[in-house]
Amino acid sequence: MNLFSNLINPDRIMKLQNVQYSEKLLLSDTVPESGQQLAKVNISSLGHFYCQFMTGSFETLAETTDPPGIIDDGVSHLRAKMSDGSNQRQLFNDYIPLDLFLSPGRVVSRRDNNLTDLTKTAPSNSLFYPQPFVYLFPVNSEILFDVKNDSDVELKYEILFHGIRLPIASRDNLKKI
Amino acid sequence: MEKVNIDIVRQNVPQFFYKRFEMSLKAIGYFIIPIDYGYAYLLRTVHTKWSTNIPGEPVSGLVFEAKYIQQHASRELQNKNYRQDLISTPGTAGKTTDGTGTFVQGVFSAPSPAPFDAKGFNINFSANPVKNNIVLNYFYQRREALDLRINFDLVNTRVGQYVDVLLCGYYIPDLTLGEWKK
Repeated sequence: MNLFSNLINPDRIMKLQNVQYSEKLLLSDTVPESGQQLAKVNISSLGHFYCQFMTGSFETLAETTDPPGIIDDGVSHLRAKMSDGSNQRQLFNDYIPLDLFLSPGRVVSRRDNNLTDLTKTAPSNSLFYPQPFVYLFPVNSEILFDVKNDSDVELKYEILFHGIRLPIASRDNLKKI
Repeated sequence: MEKVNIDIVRQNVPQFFYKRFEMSLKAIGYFIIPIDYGYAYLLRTVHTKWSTNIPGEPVSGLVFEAKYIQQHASRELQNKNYRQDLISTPGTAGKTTDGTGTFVQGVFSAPSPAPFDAKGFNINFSANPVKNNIVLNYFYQRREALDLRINFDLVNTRVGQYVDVLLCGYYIPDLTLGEWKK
């Protein structure tokens, strides 16, 4: 939407916002070390969710013996496969490393035992362009995210789906817009 | 803002195809993926990441060149091989170090493990972020396999490399088919 190329009609926009409005859904999970875990976010019964973009970040930790503890090694350990829970449609053909499609990507974790050594720890990545992901997730469905972790430390990730909520009840009652 | 049209059955479906290639100096990578019946595939962007792991040669910024070809149409989608970093990020995935640890493209590569994780697949990459991509808009017809040949031409290296390729695109339903008609 280019705000400055069109005449803004407040009445029309208010009506439109009753049947669709911007919403963001967060999917956050911690994957056990050397394990696999299925996470999901519920679309709920409120209405369809028209996803447009996704952004995400994840930890890059590993265990070390010298020095003993956990270190942020900057290596991408997580791979994921996404599917639409309403019809089990696979949206990825394989487990894809998260760093290949997520921005900002890596974040520095406070669990890094060497975090105080700033000469060895790079800062977190910053947000660039979100990954376009245009898809209508139906009402009452789920976004399924199956993640594998091949680090020997449990790793946390977060993905934010940016989209438009389409409330069912409102759209049925307010068809003339 | 326009009113969103709800059409769950006939909507475009995002579909990501991922493949990891292990390549020698000059090699050809094949993407042969059957497209779902009733759909065509629109390839929007290609995300790539490759290693710069050359033992004894502390070179960073190594690139590979690629040429995309549609096998079914015998169609070359560019006139020459071009450097992959000209169309997509994150690009290089760092390099191994001599044990002191270095920063490569803003990502710290710890001494141990280095960019390649010693565990798992043994070929994990450092987590460079995706910053930008050039839209390609290659279109593949329905009722066939997504049969894409990529000519890799590694520049300035003597050893095998790993290359991650991620195709980001959409399944487009062919609305002329009876199964999609209302």
